Amino acid sequence: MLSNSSSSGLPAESQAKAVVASPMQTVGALAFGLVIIFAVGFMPVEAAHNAAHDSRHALAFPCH
Amino acid sequence: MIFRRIIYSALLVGLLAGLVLSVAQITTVNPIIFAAETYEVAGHDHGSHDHSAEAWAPEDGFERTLYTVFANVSAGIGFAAILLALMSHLQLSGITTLSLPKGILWGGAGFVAVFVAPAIGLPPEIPGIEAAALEKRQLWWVLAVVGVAIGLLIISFAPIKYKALGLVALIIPYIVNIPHHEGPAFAHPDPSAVEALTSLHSQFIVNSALSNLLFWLALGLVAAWVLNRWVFKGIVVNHNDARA
Repeated sequence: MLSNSSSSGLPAESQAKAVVASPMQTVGALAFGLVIIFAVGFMPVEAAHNAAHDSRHALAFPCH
Repeated sequence: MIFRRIIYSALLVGLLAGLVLSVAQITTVNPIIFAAETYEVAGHDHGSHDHSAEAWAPEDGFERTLYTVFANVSAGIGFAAILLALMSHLQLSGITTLSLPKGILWGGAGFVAVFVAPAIGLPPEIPGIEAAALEKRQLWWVLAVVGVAIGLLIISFAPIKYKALGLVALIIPYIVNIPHHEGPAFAHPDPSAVEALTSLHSQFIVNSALSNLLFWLALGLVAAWVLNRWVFKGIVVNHNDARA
């Protein structure tokens, strides 16, 4: 999608903006990562704790 | 969609790093956890951690190992998504250009922020160790990781006039009240068990530190490689325009 814009005949300046201006996509990827880290390291559900128990210890998350 | 590329890349990077971590953990860290648990079961009951009958837990052996690998790969995917989001943002902004050596530096910084920073205040725990309330430790863990991560990012990438703020972010986690446990680390009634647990604990800190270092170096290296190889494929021209 982004690569198409380079052949669309837009002025170089707006092409640059089309790529650089993606703060929401970066924030989205960050949020995706944070949700997973929370699930693995912090989710207080007992079954989740038991499943990830050894990983929580190995990754030095506070566990018990 | 750079978002989709980052997520797909994070799946690959997280899988590889999670498998690296799993090999290191299963061979050097898990045996210590299992050894410590034998004292935990034989000794006192650990309030918040009684594996009560109704709560599901994986069977010891293959099933438990499988869940460990799954949790490690998931953690790898989560950390990889965060790394790739930060890397791609900084590269698109023209602030840095990732390379494999820089990927190793990013991995080292991740190790410092996510493992070393919280471990300075609250050493990695083995089962059976006494500790302050879980929620307080988790809160401080987040503060330590976020503070040191932001501090390292500011010091590495912000204009010189803001770099002092990076130092402030690095220091904040250590000037607040760290939720330490008061009293002996192990409450086991048998002194020889306490001695064994203390020795297991020091070995655990070394082995988990080395496992996490491997994990983060793999994360940083593969993330940097994938970023240039795939995430930015076809948009390099625009990146140059942005910097011009």
